[in-house]
Amino acid sequence: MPEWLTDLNKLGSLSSILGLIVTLFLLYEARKIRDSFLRRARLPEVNRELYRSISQLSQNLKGWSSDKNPSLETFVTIKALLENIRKKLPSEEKRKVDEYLSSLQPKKWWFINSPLSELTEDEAWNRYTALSGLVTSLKQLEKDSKWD
Amino acid sequence: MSTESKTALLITKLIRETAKGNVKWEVEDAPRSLNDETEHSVPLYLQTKYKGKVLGVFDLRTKYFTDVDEYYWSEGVGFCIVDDKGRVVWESRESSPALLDLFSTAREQASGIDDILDNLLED
Repeated sequence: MPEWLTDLNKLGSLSSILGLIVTLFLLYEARKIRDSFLRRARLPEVNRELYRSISQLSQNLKGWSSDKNPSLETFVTIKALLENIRKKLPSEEKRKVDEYLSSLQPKKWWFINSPLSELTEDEAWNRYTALSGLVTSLKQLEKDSKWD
Repeated sequence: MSTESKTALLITKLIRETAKGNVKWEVEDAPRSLNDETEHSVPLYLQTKYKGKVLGVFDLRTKYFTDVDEYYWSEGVGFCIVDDKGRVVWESRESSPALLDLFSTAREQASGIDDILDNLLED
């Protein structure tokens, strides 16, 4: 085989590798843009619902000693809202949401989540405080997203 | 623990104590520094004494300028510690959901809305 043909073959292989790298980079960027658009569209709605739920949670927690079920039900709603938004968040906020979700139902024997019904009143109020901080940072992210 | 985290814990504690009736909030005139010579307005200021310290929670309207003579009002809630002479020694304007809940719990208590509605509903 002539030497120029071997060189051309090498050049072709090199171009394929470069093309693959560029494609992967573009896929990564396209995914980032898609997440950013989804975040701009969904985060304000989810934040509004979270604000409503957290206010409801505080009302329900005040009546914990007479009936804890309304509080637990609100925690379930909040969990669902956070699970919905977590995939659309940047890594830092996603980590905070994951930390909060695992604190809500800590792992029991490594793989089983402890049920929400095992929460004590003090623990429930602590989760409320943590949630307030988390929702404040999501609100800030919503404001930042306007500049993306 | 950071000041921010301690403030969050204190706010939750105040919500719980207010709900139990251990903390009493009253409507007072806002300290001068919150209203005077600022771009803010404090239409409602609620105050309590907790463990010997005077604490205030307030409705805060802030002017946001979009141009030299164009602005809009934004609404939030603030929390402060006041000394014996009525000076604000520390304040937080980071409106968190817990602070909004504290403000509405304190306002509900200070207004006596529960008794007012019971009275109005009486035959």
